[in-house]
Amino acid sequence: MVGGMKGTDSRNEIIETRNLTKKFRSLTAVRNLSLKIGRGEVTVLFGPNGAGKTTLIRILCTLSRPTSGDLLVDGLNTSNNGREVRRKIGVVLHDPLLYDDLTAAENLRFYCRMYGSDESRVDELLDLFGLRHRRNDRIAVLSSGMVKRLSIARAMIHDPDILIFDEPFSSLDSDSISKMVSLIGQLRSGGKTVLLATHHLKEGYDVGERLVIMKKGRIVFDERKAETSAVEFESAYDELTGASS
Amino acid sequence: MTFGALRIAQKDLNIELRTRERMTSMVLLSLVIILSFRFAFFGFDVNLTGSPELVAPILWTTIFFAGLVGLESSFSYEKENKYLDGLLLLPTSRFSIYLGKMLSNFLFLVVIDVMTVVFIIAFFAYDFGGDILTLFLVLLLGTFSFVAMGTLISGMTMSARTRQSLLQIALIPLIVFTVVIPAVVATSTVVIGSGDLAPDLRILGGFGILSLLLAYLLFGHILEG
Amino acid sequence: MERRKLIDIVLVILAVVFVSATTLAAFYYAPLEPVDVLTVVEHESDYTGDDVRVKGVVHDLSGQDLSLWDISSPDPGITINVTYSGEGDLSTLASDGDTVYVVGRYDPDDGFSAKEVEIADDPDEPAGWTSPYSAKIFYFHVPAAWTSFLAFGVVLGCSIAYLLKGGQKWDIWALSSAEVGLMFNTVAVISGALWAKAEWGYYWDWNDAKLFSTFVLWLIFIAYVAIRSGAVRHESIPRVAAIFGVLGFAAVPISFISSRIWTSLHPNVVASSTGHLSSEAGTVLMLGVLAFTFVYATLFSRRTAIERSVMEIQDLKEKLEEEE
Repeated sequence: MVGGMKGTDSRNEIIETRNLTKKFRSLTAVRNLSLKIGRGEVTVLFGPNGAGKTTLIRILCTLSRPTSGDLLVDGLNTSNNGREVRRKIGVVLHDPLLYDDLTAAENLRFYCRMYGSDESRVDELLDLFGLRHRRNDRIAVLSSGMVKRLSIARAMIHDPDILIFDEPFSSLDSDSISKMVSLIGQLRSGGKTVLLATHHLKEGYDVGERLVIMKKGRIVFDERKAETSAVEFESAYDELTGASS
Repeated sequence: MTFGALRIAQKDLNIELRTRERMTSMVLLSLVIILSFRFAFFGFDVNLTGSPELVAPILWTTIFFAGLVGLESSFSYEKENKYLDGLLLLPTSRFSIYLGKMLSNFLFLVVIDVMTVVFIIAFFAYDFGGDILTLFLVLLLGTFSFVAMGTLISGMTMSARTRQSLLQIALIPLIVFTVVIPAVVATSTVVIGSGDLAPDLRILGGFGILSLLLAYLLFGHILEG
Repeated sequence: MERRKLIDIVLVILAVVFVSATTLAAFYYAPLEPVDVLTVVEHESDYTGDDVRVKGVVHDLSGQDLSLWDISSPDPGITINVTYSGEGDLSTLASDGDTVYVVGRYDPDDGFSAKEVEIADDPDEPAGWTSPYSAKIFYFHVPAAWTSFLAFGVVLGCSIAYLLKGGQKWDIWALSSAEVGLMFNTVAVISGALWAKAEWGYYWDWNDAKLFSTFVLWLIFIAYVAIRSGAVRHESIPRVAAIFGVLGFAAVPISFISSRIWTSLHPNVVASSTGHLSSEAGTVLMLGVLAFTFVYATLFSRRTAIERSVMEIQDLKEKLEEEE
């Protein structure tokens, strides 16, 4: 059903999964999934709730071990190179992963030290995300948009090659969404590999170069954006997932 | 990345200095337990100076229960507030996360050790005299041994809904012979002032090191789902 | 599936047959050597000639013909008849558990003719049993304890296999074995306490290393089952339980050797050079161990079958959902 992408050069694959399966006690969230992601590409994973996107994302960022199958990141197998792999990836999950009781700067400084990055990176990122004036405020008092930006700064603290976003557009207002879209564009032009999982069809389509739809743990659609129009894509999504809208 | 553990411990201290949540509940519990003993002995006119064999059981009962509260919140604070994934995404070994947590638990519990001794002095008018330095050596070693296994079990039980009772059910049988009895016996030896300290201190130290070794081997398995 | 059913039926039959055989045999064979009024602790090497002094421990006085005692020497196979011609009889001179010196004359044909009995002021530990008939509980107590050790050994093996190789099979086996093992351990603890009441006069002694360490073992596997039985089906639970299974097993060897290395009144009947076990009793005990092992195998097989059915139902449910 899903082979390697046309035109993807094997030397340029930064993420490769081989027959990845994740079983929970009562359900199989990811089934025998093989996927290759090219370096410097923006890949968007779509799918309804329960399609296995979040499980796949958690496996890709080493938070969850696959039941069977392999995952290679930049040629390293995650089963025995977890630490090196974690160095190469930055992850923005639904939870900001920032300590409510510490300030913005303290949070970034903690993560910065843990990654062994230079501490000048903290101010650099606070400037980049326009949060310098709030640097000494606790996370608990920041707005959700600010927390989201700060969580992206946290993911970028060690300047990773790969950035993984889980549902980046959810609970954002339209202004923040367009900022997020342009940020992903900037990451793309900066040579980063970006993988995001979302159920926002429009925004996902806008930022993506490669569009993948998952359903019940399998990939059911995998095309380049250049080969499918927005309308075609949306009708394909509705048809494949059985969504009514 | 051996400093990873120190930085995680430092982060825990920073949070504690700001919120004082954990310390407050641990110190209060210690105070309540000591006062309960004080009130429970009310009718008997027990005087610890006359019955020094009661000092070690009272001291350690208090430290263990206050310590269990601290251990319980050690990982569940990260888990409940959904900070744990942040630690797991770090390029440090899982053992560093354990060590960092163990270190912060140890420091919190050392404060409880001191406070409990102070409460015993205050409420039982007990004079430890010149033994107090040896006593703290025993307390430190016992606390280390308790926290080393306790942090491991706390990491194991953090996902369970009934984790507080599960931590106690799982931890207590493992430490009865290895920590509780040697710590109480060694403390009694110091307080009463006769007997040989070395065998019990050896058990405490040995079990603490064994716990570290087990954590080194097993902690990765505990944190990865 | 059919093969499994067959194995289950064979196991049930074996368990029933062996448990019945053990019960019957337990009626006929006391676990100890024939009961004596006096167990000799020390005696002079030569019984013939002049008066000799024999040191012994008195037990089980009630219901015995006190004018004629059987005493067995610590040398195996020597039983001597004793006649007492002094004042009163032994029941007025001594009571159960006393260590006494008996002075008398030994003749190879007539046996030992005792003239004087005095209570020793340097008592020996009783070498025999104050309550030999309740000791028959050993035929169930010892096999239950052994089977629980076996079951916890299976937990250890399966837990290590699960941590190294993964696979739900190991997890299910570990869980099933722990539950069945906990049941046997409970039987061992309760039967031991009942015997202690009859033999020692109290149910439990917290200062006894064997009792305490076995109690801790029992607690550990209660904790193991508690970890598993939460309503939470978190994906890390099998892994956590496997680790706990490995840690907890450490209590098994401690419980086993505790009565040999620390002070304990618990008898070391098996695997000890000073065992008092007769060869018949040893056979019955072996029978009991086999019987309980078959009971264990039966319960283990049924327990894993339940867990397998749960898995099958879940798989079917999932397939149905997929076909929708």
